[in-house]
Formats: sequence, C-alpha cells, structure tokens
Amino acid sequence: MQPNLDAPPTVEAELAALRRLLDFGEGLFSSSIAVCNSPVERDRLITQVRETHPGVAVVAIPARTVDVFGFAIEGYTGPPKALCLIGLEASIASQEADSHTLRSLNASRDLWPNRYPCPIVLWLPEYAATALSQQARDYWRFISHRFYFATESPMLTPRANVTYADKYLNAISLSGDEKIARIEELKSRIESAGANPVPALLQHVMVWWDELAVLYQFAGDLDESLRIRREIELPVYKRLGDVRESALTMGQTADIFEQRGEIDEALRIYREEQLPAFERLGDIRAKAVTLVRIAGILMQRGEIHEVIRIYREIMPPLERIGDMHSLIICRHNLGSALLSRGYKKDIPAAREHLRWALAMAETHNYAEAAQIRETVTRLLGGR
Amino acid sequence: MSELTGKVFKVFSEKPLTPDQTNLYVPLDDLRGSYNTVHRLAGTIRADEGTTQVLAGHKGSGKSTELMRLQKELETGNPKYFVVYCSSDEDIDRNDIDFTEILFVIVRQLAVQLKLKANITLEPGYFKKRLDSLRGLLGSQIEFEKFDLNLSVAKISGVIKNSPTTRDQVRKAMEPVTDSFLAAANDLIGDATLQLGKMGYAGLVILFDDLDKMIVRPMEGTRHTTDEHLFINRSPQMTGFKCHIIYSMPLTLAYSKHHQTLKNLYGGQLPLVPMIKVKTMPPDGVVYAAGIAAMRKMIDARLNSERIFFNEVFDNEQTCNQLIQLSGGQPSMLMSMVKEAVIADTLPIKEASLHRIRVEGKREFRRQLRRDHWKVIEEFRTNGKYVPDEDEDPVFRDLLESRALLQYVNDEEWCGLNPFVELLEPPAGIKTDAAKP
Repeated sequence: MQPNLDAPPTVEAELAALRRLLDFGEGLFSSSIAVCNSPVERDRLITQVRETHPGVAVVAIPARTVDVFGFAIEGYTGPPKALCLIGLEASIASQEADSHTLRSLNASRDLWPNRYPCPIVLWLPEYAATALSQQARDYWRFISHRFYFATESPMLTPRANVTYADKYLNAISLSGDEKIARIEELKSRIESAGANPVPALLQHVMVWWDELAVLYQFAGDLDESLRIRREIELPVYKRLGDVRESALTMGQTADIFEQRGEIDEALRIYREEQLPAFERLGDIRAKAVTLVRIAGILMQRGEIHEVIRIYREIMPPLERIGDMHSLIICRHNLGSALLSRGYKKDIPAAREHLRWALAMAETHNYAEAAQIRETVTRLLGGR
Repeated sequence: MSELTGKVFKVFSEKPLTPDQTNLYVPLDDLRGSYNTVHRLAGTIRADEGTTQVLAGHKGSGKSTELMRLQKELETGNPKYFVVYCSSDEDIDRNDIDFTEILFVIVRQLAVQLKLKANITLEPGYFKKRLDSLRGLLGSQIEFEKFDLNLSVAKISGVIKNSPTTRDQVRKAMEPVTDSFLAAANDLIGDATLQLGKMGYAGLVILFDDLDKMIVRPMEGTRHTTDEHLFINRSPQMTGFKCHIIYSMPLTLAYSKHHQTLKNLYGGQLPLVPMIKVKTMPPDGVVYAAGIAAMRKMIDARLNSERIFFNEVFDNEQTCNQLIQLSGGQPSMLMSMVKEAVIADTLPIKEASLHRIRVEGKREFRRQLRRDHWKVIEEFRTNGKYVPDEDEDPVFRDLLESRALLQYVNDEEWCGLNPFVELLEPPAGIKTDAAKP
C-alpha cells in the first residue's frame, strides 16, 4: 500500500462501514485495520464511533513496545464490544528494517481470537500499514476488513499556496522511528544555528521550527506544537513585521485548538486575528481559506444560515480572481450546507452547486473529485 | 597549421572568460549603458537574505563572463558567499527543459561543489526518499548500489536527458509532489547554509547559466512558449529555493509582453547584458569610435597574452576595424570571426578573408529570413527605437533570437540590424524607407 494523499476517500462511507462492522460483528472475533495519517483525526473519528457505540474500548500502545498482544491484555482484560488499538506506529521501525514489534505481532496472530471475541481495529498511518503488510504477512492475511480515512473533514478546504499535505508530505511520510530521528536532527540543527542566526540562516531555522511543530502535532503532542507556534514562531514573525507568516502561524494555532475541541478559541483566532490580517494584505485566496475554516466550525455549531451566508460571500471574489480550485470547493460546501438546512426550496440551487463542482473537479482532474462525487451520490442520489 | 596560426586559433576562444583570466578582461560597462551588471547583482544579494534574479542577453554577449566575475566578487568580497555555478549543458536537453531538470542540476551541483570546495558532505535526507518514489517508474534503469547525491542524481538526470519518454513520465509523476521535491532540496540548502555559516560564509548563491540557450518553441497543447512556461508558469518553483539564485534567461523573453510580469517575479529588475555599441543608433548609424577601441582592446589583450604581434595577425588597422564592425559588438562573434578568417586564408587576415566572412554571413541570414521578418527589419533599419505592434511581436522575438536584430543599451535602449543583415537587400516588394510616402 502506497501513501495516496491525492485521492481522498469517502470518510462518511468508511465510518458507516466501521459502524456496521460493530453492529453486526458484536461478540465475534474479527481483525481490521483503519488507515488514518493524523492521530488527532484518528482520535476524533474514534470519539464519533464511541458516541454511537459506547462499549468500544481503546488501548494506546506506547512507543517501543515489542509485545503488542502482551501490552493489550495488560491494558484491557475484559471482553469489550470492540477494541481499538492505537499508537502502534511509534513502535514500528522504518520499512527497510526487520521490526521486532511486527515479528511479534505476526507470531501472536492466533492468540487474539481466544482472548478477544470481538472486533479488533488496529489504527495505523499509511506507512505503518505498508510495513505491516510487508513484515507481518500472516497477520496481514488475517485481516478481514480495511477502513481508509485519509481526509480530515467532510467539508473541503481550499489550498492557499500549497496544501497542508503537499507542504509537509516529506515529514508526515516518515515512519515512527524516522519521525523521532528527524525531530532530534531538527533540534540539533536549530541549536547549532544559535540564538541569533544570520538572515540567510534564519529563514531555514524558521522552516525547521515549522516542521518540528508539525511533527509534534502529528505525534499527538499538541502542547509542544502549540508552544512552538506561539512562543517561538509568532514572536519572530512579528519582530520581522511579516504579516503573512504571522497570520499563517495564527491559523496553525487555531487549527490545534480546533483539533483539541476548543472551537471557540479557534473561531476567535480565525475571526479576530487571521481574517483581518489577510484583509489588510488584500489576499483574497487566503481570506477565502480562513472563511471556509470559520464556516466549518459554525457548521459544527449548527449555525447553518451563517455558513450559507459566508459561502455566498466568498464566491464572487473567487470568481473574479479565477481561482477555480477554491471555487469548486466553496460551491461543493455551499451545496452541502443548503441541503443540510432542509428547505425544499434550496434543493435546485444545492443540486446546481454540487453538480457544477463535480463537473469542474473532474474536468480539472482535482484530487477532491472523488469526495465530491461521493457527496453528490449521498446527498442527491437520483435527484 | 603553423605554430602562430595554432596560437591565434587557441587564444581567440569564444568560451566565456574564467574569473582568473583577468588579463583578458576588458571593462565594457560604459559601452553597455553603465549598468554595472556585476555590482548590481552582487548588491542585491548582499542586501537581502534570499533573492531570485535573472540575467538576459544575446547568446555571446558576455553573460557567462559576467556571471563568473560575479562569482569571484562574491567569493572574495566581504562578506563572502559560497557560490555554486551550474552550467546546464551536461545534464539538460536544451530542446526540452522544465523545472524537474533544473531541480536535479541544482541538487547535484550543490553536492559536488560543497564537497569539492568546502569538504562538506550533504546527507541526502528527504531527497533520497523522494527519488526512491521514482524508482518504480524508472525500474532497472536506475539501480543505486549506495545512495550518493552526486552519482545517484546524475544517473537519473542521464536517463531523463536521453529518453524523452522517461522524461515525460518522470515529470508527470513529480507534478503532484513538486513542492515536496522543492522542500527536500531546500532542506539540503538549509543544511548547507548552516555548515557554511560555521566556515564564515554569509550565505549560499547559485548561478544557473546557459538557460538563455534553451530552445524557444510553442508548447504542445498550450498557448505558451517553452521559455514562458519555465520562467512564468513555473515561477513559484523557480523562485522557491531558499538561497540566492540567478538564472540566465533568453533575451527574447525579456523583450516580450511579459517584461513587467518577469520584473515583478524576479526581484524587481531585469538586468541585460547588451551588445557593445560600435555604431550609433539608426538612422545615423555612424561608426562609434569608443566601441571600436574597446573591442580592439579585447583583441590586443589576447594577442599580448600569447606575445603575438598585431601585424602578424592583421595586415593593417582598417582590416581589424572592419572585422570589429562586422561583429556588431558581439564579443563571442568577434572571436569566432577571427578564427573563421584564420581558417579561410593564411595569416595575416586581410580584406580577402573579410570578403569570405561577409559572403558567408549574408548567405546565412538570407536563408533564415522570411518575408514577414523583412517588414520589421526595414522598420529598424531606419528607426532603432521602432516599437513592434502585437502582431509583429513574435517576428521581433524571432529576429532577436536569431541575432538578425541586436540589442544595445546606452543612454537609451535600441536595436540595430546585424551588420550582415544590413548588407542584404530586402526582397522585391518590401517597402523600404525610401519608397515610403
């Protein structure tokens, strides 16, 4: 299995499939994997599953665990409705290595059914799933269901200059031990650069801090990630008078708050700090991205009229600057929001927005086409 | 070939001067609009932490010489910079250049020159992972026994250069992840900058020469030409390296409708290395003594370096001056014509040798020029500041590209006819100035 960040799967459909497994598989052993690259997103999805299926247990495997089965039975002895195993990637060596952890997991294959007569879902990022398929082949063949969660939200977000995945693809593609090594390497470089690096080096130091924050964020250490953003990056950009980088960094702190569930603070940052900065810069595309983020939070809070107002506000400027990609996403999200409102009179407009978004996404061969197609099928069906 | 002929042939090389050949260098700024190219480029670099600049000019106008002088100034000035000079010939097919190949050349030359000049070995890091992702595509063509940035990238560049099909496949595979490749290259540049800083360097500068020699042609399925695609469509990537970088650029692009866009994209200025003024602007078109004298100094410097007497090479002053005028102020053309004259006849060079050069030069342009070219040529024959209209723009760019028109900068910018074109009669039916109402 190769990382495939350009083909977002259908999160809702995958989540529904996972729930069906929990419904129909209760009391029966089954082994599944759920591929999700972001620990924060993984935790959000598991929380959603547990809301509808309260008996699902979660066991977090600490870094450098060799005997996964041994740890699981220590961590959870009783027979749950289902068991989610998370964090295995922190114990899996790079793809080239012969991982003791995976060898052990492979060998323990027959122990699981007797101990856990329930669905077991092993949550892994893509690279770890690849390593599992290569180094624990017996266990891999033992897997009966596969769920794929690569997108981070059912609503789409337009890219500013580069997508999150594009910008940090190198870092997020690293395996667990490579991530740890990379963190050490970056810390060493930053230390070596000294407290006051020359301007030519400072730009690289800021890139290294940025990557470090991302690595911590992906490792689930949101506090450290937030500390870097707020206490290191922001003061430098403010000192340099770099309004754009300051605004982008503020957005990243808002992203962390949002992932932590502190959506009021995230909303405040987007509205009061990032949005005014992009307005001052006259950056229509960046402003649109921020507004989509705001709309996403308001959608969670059920403020659907405001969401629709925002998307209607964004569309004309995007049309003016000819940003087809952002426009496709806005019309997709607007169509979805209109249908969510439940007014019969909105259906024709929603249909038009969604069908236009799908046609354009397919014409331009955008990665989001698959997700838009899924939305159209799910929401419009034969309409 | 006599010993003297051999020495003359060797010393009048068209190759750009290296920074060490100071004895052959003749300052020409006063005759090129006092732009002081090296000083300005260096000043921009010293004033900022990361700049992307371009340098345009006719082939043979002296861009490479200026870039090599810039290299020396940056390497020996205060503060000093580590300079990586990239010549694209070895790794790139000039017929078909895209950002992918630029990236590979930069990464490879960075690794090679850091090792050679500073004993710094770059760890491949993310770049190895990015290249690994291409190995499935390249298959058995690429096998790395041990990954080495220089050798491994050279292998890939070689395969890409020699196989248009593979080149296309690699570009398609890299397209969605170009920014990741760029980020991987920037990670190498960051590591290099860190290590160079410890050695007292203020930063890293990459000089990317020879891109002006890229073949300019319309791109299939687009309304763009190859140079527009590379320097404008690819500008986010071309300007995305986190160090100082200067690319040489085709002159025709600098004179296109994209002039202002290019200035905005590449540091706010578009420096040119123009020809040396050896004649005044049309319609006067009289010999410009200062320009002739400067090019004569170039000849003398080369002769002196080999202790050759002027009279051994030219039968008289007039022959030498005629040859300089025929060059149109193009340094490399002057060198090439001296060699041509040496081959055509025995030394010293005399009027008969020049006659052969004139005949050959005229024949060459007569073959190239089309009817639509001639309409614009006739405008420039009488007006060096003629402004082509939109329909004439592609023809104008053609003429600059073929050097039928030569660009000069003095108090103002203007274009003059190549001396060989000036000697040609327009085809029948083309209105000359005299025939105009």
